[in-house]
Amino acid sequence: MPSGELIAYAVLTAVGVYATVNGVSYRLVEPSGAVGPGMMPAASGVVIVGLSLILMVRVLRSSGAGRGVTAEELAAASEDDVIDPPREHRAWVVIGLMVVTALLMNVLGLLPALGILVVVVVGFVERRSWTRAVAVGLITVVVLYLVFDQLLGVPLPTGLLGGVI
Amino acid sequence: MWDNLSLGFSTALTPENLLLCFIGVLAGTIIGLLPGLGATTGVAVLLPLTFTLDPVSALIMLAGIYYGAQYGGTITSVLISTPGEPNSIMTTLDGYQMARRGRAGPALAIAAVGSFFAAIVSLILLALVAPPLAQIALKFGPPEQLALVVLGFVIISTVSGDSQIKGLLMTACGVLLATVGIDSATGTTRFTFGQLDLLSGISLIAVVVGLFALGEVLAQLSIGEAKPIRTRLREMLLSKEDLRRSRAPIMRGTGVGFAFGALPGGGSTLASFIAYGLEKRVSPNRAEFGKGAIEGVAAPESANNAAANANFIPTLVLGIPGGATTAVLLGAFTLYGITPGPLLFEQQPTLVWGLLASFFIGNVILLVLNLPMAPVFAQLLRLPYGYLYPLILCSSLLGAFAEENAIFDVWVAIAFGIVGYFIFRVGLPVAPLVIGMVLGALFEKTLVQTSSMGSGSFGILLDRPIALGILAVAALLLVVPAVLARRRRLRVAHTSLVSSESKKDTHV
Repeated sequence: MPSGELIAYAVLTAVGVYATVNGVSYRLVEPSGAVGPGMMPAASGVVIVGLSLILMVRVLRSSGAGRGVTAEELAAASEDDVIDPPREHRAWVVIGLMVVTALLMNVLGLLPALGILVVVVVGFVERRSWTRAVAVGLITVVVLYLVFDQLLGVPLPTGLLGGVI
Repeated sequence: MWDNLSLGFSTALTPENLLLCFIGVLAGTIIGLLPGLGATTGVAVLLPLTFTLDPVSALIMLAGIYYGAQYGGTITSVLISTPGEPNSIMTTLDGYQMARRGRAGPALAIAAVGSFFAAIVSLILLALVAPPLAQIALKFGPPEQLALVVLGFVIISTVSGDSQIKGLLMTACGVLLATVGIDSATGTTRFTFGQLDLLSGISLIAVVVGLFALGEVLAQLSIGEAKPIRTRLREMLLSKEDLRRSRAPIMRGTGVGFAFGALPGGGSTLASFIAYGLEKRVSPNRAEFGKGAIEGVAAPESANNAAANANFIPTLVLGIPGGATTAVLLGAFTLYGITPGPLLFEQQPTLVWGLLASFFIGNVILLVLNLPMAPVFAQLLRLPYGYLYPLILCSSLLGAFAEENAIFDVWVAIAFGIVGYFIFRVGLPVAPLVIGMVLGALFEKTLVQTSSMGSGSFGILLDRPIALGILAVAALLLVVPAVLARRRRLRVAHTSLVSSESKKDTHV
């Protein structure tokens, strides 16, 4: 099973190749001789490919190193600081919740969506009491409303429910 | 000069102007605290509130917002690893590590002290050299700006943690990201995948918020909830050792910040990057950089503030904005019927010197407000992380939205939060990616302009002594450390060979 680092460098190599090919198609040099729109994408693509390949070779040569960092290793390294066993799945749950929040913004409005995010994270992910979770969510929404909407006048989307919420 | 300064102070020290300066600094600090909002947004949003004021008072308040926001951005850089502005990115590298070690108070305090010192020195330099320095800045065209960005890339290559290659790789990725959108020179759309929202490019704020704030939260979640940071009161205060170590970095950062901030077109953005990179090269404690070195906070913070003041040189004297925020301030000048330019110092001395004197007063207010508040801000880290990070998520997503009022930027922030998480897991450095985005945009613009000036040839650089000088410095910075390192390795190898041979002789 290739290490996380190897996969990352392989992905970056692919990105670099894509950038280089597209950069060439955008024109490297203008008819006037000036730098064209494709020069920077192609140049950065070439650099990305070159450096990614160098790093891939280094990882393949080194024995057992370059596996990237696993959650368990990081937690072990900072054992004194950790009061909760690593729950890597929490990161993925929070990512999922942020995606759902972004989808809800157009439906419920930005502030209500963020309020729900806070309540679910505190109550479900962090396993605090639901009363506290709702309280933190409400306070967050009120403070953000006062600062962004009232003080700074930033227009916040109200979603399909308009001014109801 | 003293007559001008006393005129300025007599203008700035009226009760009304003092109050407006205080309000501006406080509002700026709060705005800078919010991820995604920065000085530019703050000045733009609060500009209408100043229409009823007279021009001097209005500009004093807006300027207060400007540098107040710089410090607000520093607070979030240190406490939650989220730079409020691109200028605060470098502070994150060591400031956040200091906070993780229970030293958030000294980090914030040295930022306040360094910023104050830089503001005072740059104000004096402004008063002394603004008009002649502006004439030199006039000679800065695209070739000189190109050379400056190349110098920035060279110096930044040292800001890559332990692996220069990884840092350069991430810088190249940042440069590539900066090409997304419409190419301003030719109108070609690049890497937009048919998305209208990508025509203006990827939002830098959304990327910064995603990588630094969201990425850091996801990384922390994956390694388990860290204990709230408990520190004793004396650990939250600056020690004599902290001040001793910070003295030289503050002076160097001030010099770098003023020099680069005086240049129009992005010099101030480079200032903090270059100050950090330079400090990392010359500091006797360079091994600690990236792990919580106080020099890594003192230098870029001083550079920021010096550059923020020096930005007013091209703005006031030439009418050319030094950066995004001064561009908005320039708009304010126009709204009040004031024409910046070489004659401004002669025709409107009350306004100019009143504004400059208010910088001094505003920075005193900043220091008085924030130095005692530094340990208080640091107390935020005592909050259990389970309550703290949802707030970080909210303010980050809202901040990403607020820049352009676009939900698309929220998606960008989330995407880069995931990218930041993977970057952390794989062990690649994050800061060079953002630096690459900032420098890449500048680099392409100046590259295209320079090549146009030379009709496709870069030989024009040979006719520009300032540009050649800067490129020579960049070349030296690349070559000299490599040569010195090689000589050191040879010397060590020779010494160990001699020592092993003398041991053999002894045995015989």
